[in-house]
Amino acid sequence: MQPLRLAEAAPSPTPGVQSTRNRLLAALPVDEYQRIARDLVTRPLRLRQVLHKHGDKLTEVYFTGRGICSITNAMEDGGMVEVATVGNEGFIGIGAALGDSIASGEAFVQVQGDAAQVMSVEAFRREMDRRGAFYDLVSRYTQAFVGLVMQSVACNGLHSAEERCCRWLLMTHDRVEQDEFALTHEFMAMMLGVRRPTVTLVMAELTTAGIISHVRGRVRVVDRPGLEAASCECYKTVRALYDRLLPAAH
Amino acid sequence: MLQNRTGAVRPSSARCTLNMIAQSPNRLLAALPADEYHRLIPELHSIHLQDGERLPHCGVARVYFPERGFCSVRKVMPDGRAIEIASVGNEGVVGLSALSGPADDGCRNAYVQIGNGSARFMLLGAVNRELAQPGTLRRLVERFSRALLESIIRSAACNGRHTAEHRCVRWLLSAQDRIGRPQFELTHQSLALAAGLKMSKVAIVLRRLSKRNIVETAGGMITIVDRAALEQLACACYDRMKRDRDEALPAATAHRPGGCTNIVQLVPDIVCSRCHSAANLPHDSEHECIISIDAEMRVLMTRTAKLHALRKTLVDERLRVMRDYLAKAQARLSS
Repeated sequence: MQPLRLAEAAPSPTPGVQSTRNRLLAALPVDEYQRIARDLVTRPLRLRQVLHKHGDKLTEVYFTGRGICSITNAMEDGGMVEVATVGNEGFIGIGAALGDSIASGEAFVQVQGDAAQVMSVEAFRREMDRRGAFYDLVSRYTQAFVGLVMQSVACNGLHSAEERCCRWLLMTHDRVEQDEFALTHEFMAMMLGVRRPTVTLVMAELTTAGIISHVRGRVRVVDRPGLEAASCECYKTVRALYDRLLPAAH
Repeated sequence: MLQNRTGAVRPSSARCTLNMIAQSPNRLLAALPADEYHRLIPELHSIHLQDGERLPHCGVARVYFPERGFCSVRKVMPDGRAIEIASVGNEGVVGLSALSGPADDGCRNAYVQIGNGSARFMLLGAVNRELAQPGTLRRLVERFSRALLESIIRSAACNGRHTAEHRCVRWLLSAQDRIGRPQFELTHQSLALAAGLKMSKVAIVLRRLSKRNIVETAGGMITIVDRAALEQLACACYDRMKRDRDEALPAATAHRPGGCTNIVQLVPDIVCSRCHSAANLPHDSEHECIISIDAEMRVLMTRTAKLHALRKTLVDERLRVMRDYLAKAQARLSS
């Protein structure tokens, strides 16, 4: 399977200087961030690295930078379905914000990007209990994340494979921040929980319509407005939700 | 009853525990320690809900603790199509802002009662005040929230991969679990809305199920005749969701026997074996039994007298309103 990869490697943060590529941490007041930074350990993420499995007791929370992490649900037949993605706007380990620190779903690195800033669950809970800016940002992100998963329930139940493929392409396009990225039909079919021929058919239709071009494991978004028009309203709904609840990208 | 209006138990003896608080069938409320529950009682209002009724002001100004029947949390798309995102029965709470997801981003949330039943509700402000302080309620709500997220994740996956029949079967099985009886109110339309399917599709699925004598549908009611066969048809998602739901349930219901009844318990934990009175235990002689029986009767008589007085005031008030109304109607007729 062709891995998805960012074109350029992200510059590593200058040693000694408190910097973060995570928008949630970046939105903290300086003094709060400096306090929290003492509990953060920078750790690179490998492609396909599994950050947690369903039902695991969480020990660490990952504040991710650029790149994409996928939250999936593993099915009993060995397959999986993607229910949400996390980029630099949030963190992996929502369970830590919801009390008993049990992992929901399986999280793995889908597109390799920046190193993550890792925090222990104890430190995370301690910061949450302060009920300060960190708590507010994490709560808002949790709400946005739950909203995204809820939208996935609705979208998967109501919308056609074509609309869902378009939504998935749009979200990936937003996250990788470049027009061309590696993508195989198998991978997309797996993420959407549909059959591979369905994906092939949809991709062929989109190519014919001049919305994307698709050669040997790589996709290029040619007509972004066209792609938005072909997608269901779920893309816009989630986008509006994230814009409303989360700190703006700089 | 030895219970005053605020729900606090009148201590009839320091040595006996009386279990006389109206317990909620909502298992989250039932798992609260007695003192925390007492504090909440003035804020908890009871409401009866009809099948298909929207929970009034849910998620906007109120938070509901379902008791009987369950709440179907639905997303209504801009084009008017709707689909169930999660269902919450007596194991949880609905309407908390952290879990209601987007409210004004194009898709509305709808909270619909399934099966005639009841719930307790609390004002959103009061709940948020409670949740702002560390306590059992906060711990229980957090734990329930995580379990709810779990089930939403699973629904997303099931909706993405499994067939219309699987989804209908999953819904029917969990509806029976929650309502607690094999026969309940269900129209094609409500199942279509819950499963996010077209009415025609639901009609086909139900037709197929009734042809195989698994369910019976008549007059807006459905009866699950062959539960085992229905379970055979379900996808693994049903089992998994049920297991997750059960695991998330507070295990601490044991200290409140009868946690699933709404009836005030009449028999205290410890009573005298001779006179069945709970006052002034233990009774060493018949004389002590007589004294405690007298004590209990006095309490009951005082309570009865108070209820009599209360009833009289209420009846008088009601009569006055009716007389006023009649007088006004008569005046209108004669003018």
